[in-house]
Amino acid sequence: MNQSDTAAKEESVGKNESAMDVGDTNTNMTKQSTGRQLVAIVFLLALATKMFLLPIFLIQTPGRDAYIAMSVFGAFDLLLLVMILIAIKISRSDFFELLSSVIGKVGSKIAVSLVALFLLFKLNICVAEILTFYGTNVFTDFDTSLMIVVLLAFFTAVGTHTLRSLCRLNEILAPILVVCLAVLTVIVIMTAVDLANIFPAVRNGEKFVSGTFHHAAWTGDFTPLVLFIGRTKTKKHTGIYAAASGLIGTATAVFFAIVLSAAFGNVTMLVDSTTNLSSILQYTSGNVYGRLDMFSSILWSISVFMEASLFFYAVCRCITYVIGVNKHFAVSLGVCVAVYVVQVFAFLDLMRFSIIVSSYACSVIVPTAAFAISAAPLVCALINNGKQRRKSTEAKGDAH
Amino acid sequence: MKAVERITGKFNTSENIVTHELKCGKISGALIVHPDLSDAAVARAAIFALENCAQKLSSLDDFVRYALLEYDIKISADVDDCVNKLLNGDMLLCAENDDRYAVINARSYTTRSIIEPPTETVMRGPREGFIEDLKTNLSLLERRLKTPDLSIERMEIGRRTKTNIALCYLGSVAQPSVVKKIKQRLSKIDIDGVVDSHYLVPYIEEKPQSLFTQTGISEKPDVVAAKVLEGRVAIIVDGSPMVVTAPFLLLEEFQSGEDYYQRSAYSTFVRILRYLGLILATLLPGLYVALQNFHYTLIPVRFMITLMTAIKGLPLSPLSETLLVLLLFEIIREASVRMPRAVGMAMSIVGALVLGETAVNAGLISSPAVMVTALSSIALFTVPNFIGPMSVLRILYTLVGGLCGFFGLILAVLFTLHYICSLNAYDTPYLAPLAPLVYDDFKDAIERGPLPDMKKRPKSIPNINGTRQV
Amino acid sequence: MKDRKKLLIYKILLFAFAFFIAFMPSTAMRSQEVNSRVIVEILGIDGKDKISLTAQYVMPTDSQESTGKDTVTVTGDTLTEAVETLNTALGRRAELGHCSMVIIGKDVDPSILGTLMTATDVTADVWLSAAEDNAEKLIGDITDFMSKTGATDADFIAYSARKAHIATNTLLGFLSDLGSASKSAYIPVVQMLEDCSGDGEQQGGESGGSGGESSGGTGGGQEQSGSSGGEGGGAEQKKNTGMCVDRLAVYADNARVGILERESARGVAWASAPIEKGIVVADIDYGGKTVKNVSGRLLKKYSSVKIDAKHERATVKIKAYIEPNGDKFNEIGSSNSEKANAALRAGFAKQIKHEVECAYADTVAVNCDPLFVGREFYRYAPDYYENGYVYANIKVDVEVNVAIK
Repeated sequence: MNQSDTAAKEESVGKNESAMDVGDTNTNMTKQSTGRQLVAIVFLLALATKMFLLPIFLIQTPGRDAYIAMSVFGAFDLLLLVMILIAIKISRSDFFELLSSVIGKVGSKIAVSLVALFLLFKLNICVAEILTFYGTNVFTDFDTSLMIVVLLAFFTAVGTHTLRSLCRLNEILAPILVVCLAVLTVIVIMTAVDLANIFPAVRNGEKFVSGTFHHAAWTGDFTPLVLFIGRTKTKKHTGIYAAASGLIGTATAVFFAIVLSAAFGNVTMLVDSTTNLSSILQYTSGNVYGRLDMFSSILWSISVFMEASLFFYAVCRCITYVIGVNKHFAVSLGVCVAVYVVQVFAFLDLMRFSIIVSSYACSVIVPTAAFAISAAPLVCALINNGKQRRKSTEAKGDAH
Repeated sequence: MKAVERITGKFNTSENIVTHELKCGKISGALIVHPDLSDAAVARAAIFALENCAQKLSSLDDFVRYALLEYDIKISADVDDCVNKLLNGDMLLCAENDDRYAVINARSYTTRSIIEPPTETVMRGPREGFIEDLKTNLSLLERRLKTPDLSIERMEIGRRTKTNIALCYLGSVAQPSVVKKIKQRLSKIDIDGVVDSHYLVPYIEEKPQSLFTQTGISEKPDVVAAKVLEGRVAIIVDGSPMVVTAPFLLLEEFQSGEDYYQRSAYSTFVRILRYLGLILATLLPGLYVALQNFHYTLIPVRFMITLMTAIKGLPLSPLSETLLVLLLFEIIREASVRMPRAVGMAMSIVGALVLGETAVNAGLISSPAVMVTALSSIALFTVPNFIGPMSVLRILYTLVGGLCGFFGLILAVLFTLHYICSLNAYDTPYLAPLAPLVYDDFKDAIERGPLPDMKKRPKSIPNINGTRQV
Repeated sequence: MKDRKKLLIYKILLFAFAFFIAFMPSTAMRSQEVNSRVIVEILGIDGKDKISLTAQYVMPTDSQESTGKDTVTVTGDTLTEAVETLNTALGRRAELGHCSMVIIGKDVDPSILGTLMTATDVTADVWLSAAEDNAEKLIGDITDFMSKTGATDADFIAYSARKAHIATNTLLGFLSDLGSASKSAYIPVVQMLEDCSGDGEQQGGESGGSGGESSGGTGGGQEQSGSSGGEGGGAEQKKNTGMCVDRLAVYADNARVGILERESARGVAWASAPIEKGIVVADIDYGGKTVKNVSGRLLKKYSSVKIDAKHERATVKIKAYIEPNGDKFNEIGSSNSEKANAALRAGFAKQIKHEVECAYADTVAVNCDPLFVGREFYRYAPDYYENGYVYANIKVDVEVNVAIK
């Protein structure tokens, strides 16, 4: 092929192709997340905390029906995810602009303050889970008041940087987490748990409902995704992929819950132990070859770190919007202090944490708030779109 | 002569400048030469030529028109510019009653010959390396990029050094916004001197205080040409054999020019080894200390018994022991780099054998700690350009691993990764094509695909023409 | 750099330094945490009212090549107290996370294993073994034996679990079985083989763990030579020549209710889903004569229990893939006919059925359900289970389908 042909081809094929088409690389661009990153984050959020302490708590209350309770939570969260994904698809404005355009600036600031409170609560659940996991399963001596500082230092870095950095971090960690999940799945399969142990299902309906209800605080894991509204570069099928990713994540969490229900369905009191707190650690692969299971679950706990950091980021941005000043470092530091106080003084031990989180108030407020936060942007986006359609119709009418 | 005085008056020590006064026919003139920087033969030939045509000459223009036809000459009336040219090795020819000067190219520096660069030795592939002469360096690059599309923009930076700098890029490939941004940044530099290309690096980088380098540095023309072909901009600095390229991806640290001259499967294997090397080099000591201090349950029982036997009776804690061995290694490394080669060998023997062996025998440090450090240090050298950041990171990770176990170690790694993810100089994600994921660029990321498959230029580097081959 | 930014960096550095100092006492100053532990590889539990713990522990020696193994026995009113006493006895904290086998004595209340799992570092996957009488004595014998052979602690039971036709159990598996609707569980009984009686047959099996398999399977209830320590009595010097694990201790309602002999133990193994390997020995009727002791290797097995609550029946279904081998097989297999195959299938199936029926008969007698029939009724007919289920009333059928490979 001669040079002119190549040049002509280059003109048609190669022009303007760069990383900017693949991921948003421009620092000034408002769109900070790519569709792929959204899919990775959805997968992570679908199973991070749902595979951590929740199965243990569920085993203790609805017993061998824990997996059904998990499925209920998963289904509820998937519903919220779908609402958020639709909002991401149809809205060009971001979450704060959406609220402000519908309920006004003051109204939106009040609403965002409430959202920030909710997210802060969820953040504290994540942090408490992390600290409990490491304090009980991984370390023999774990000084929470000191160790939390390391975690908060990371959170501060997250709070001061952009959503794009966080999304990229998620994207790069996602394959590692999938590998860890695969290892854990193999270990689970190797243990040859009799899955039929989950039967009979729902023998005690009252206990099941009560147990499920009291752990409703674990719903609403997808709520930080509202920040992705108007800031994600979506393609035609991004929404479908993201929903599928959420579904796969939820199915994975339910699968692990099934295995745990089968393993501990007959001995539910054993899960309430110091060495077997995490749902994954039950399936030890044998200590002759080293605790691969433990190593994998420690690595896998990164997903909860990531979920917590996403909540942290969301809280910081909500507060920044409410106060109207872009002092990210100061805001991050403030949120860190709040988390420190809550963790070191309020959620001091697992018992107190458990009592607070499974209280009646939490069980009512959290799912309601999660639903409201997920539905609000969708409603606002629909109203906005309606307004725009009316405007364009009127403009057309005027032109005629 | 006034014209001569105007020039010599600019110098503190005018005796460094040689002035040859001439009487050419009806007019007097003078040739001003910097003997250290100019070729004396050019001056001699010019004087001879002028004397030959003395009868025809009546003005400065006549000098150029009749006597010095074959010379590279420019006429300038700017004294500062002429002084600058003189300092670059040009001769100045002036005539009485004329404020202008004829600037004759007589540059001649002694430069070293083109040899294989010691920092990038290869088994296969070109062995040429850049040298300190800008002109030679440009010719080396131009020989590889024989296209009118190659833009070479020259600049002068440094109030006192007036260092010549050349910006090279392919006009139809490089993203104009990137070129513009680099030019803007370079033009804003107001420094007294630029003695090496590394002086420019902090000005081009977005986060100069960062631990991670955000510009590529190479001594090899083939590597620089390949980078320019991908849409990068090369900055060649007179007096430096190191050519700076931007934008830069972290993965470039793990690529070597030789990767493209070997079988792709082998290159891929070597690249994977480099990534493993990175993980081993930075994390192994931290993991070792964390496992010993906190997570011994994770260690297989046989290994644990061996470890217990090895560390029995040691006076130091695992953290202090490992940090000590790491620091000792860093000291030995630094000393061996600075030492004359002849002493270097003895130094290695003393460092590695005498110190290590004796310390283990004396029961001051354990053999696993020495082994871990040695393994980590060997792994360090799989990525030679990344030794600096990796050395600092592994000491930090060791500290964190020893203090906070896996909890701290995971957070420290996340912290580092998050920071790297936030680097985004010239619209180029530092961690691309891994984050954001750019599938098309995977052919030349961890994998090194066969060249016929690489039909597109990397999308991770901003460019305006993605097609490499059809 | 701006002064404010500099100040901030100094503040952060100061904070980091303070943080480091705060950490110093707890972590940086600690010396060799690993060496503050003693690795316990086997743990033995004896006693009912007063708990006796026997630990086989490993100590690093000056020589890099070898490690010293020894045992220590402590007692306490509770398990937790006994573990604390063990720490004191060893002078360091016992590292139970690396324990690979727990041996329980005759009188031990199995509920204590729940405490072991929840209150100590012992992992859920640790192998369980039962001593016929006393765990302390057995661990002592095992330690002596290991020092000679270099065999590792739970190697033989792990081998048995994978390769031999022995029903093994892990700590969590045992507790889960015991907590199931069947309220029954089993643990393999470990015995030392001693050379005083000189029965060479015991060492001819698949492994040390499945000794005696080649000595014919139809006899049933065959006595192991040199059974657990102490029985030989007298001043005679006994020498441990190997380990044997082919009997099962069965538990029901938090107590050991009996020991199943070899034949019944094999019957339980047939009904136990995870056991897939082993040797089958059967008498085959072929061509009008009976060929004794034809052996085959079990390649794969599927087992399930189907229930019929209406008729109070349960059917143990077993599908086994067997590869016959040995000289005895050649007597039949040389003809390689369909008829010979059918004879082999029938012979092996009869033997398997016999073993499962033996297991059922022996366990019904002690009201124990290691075939987990009750669990199946609870799973799939919970109403019947809660209202009218009695294990002894259930008619258990065995269906065996053998495929010859």
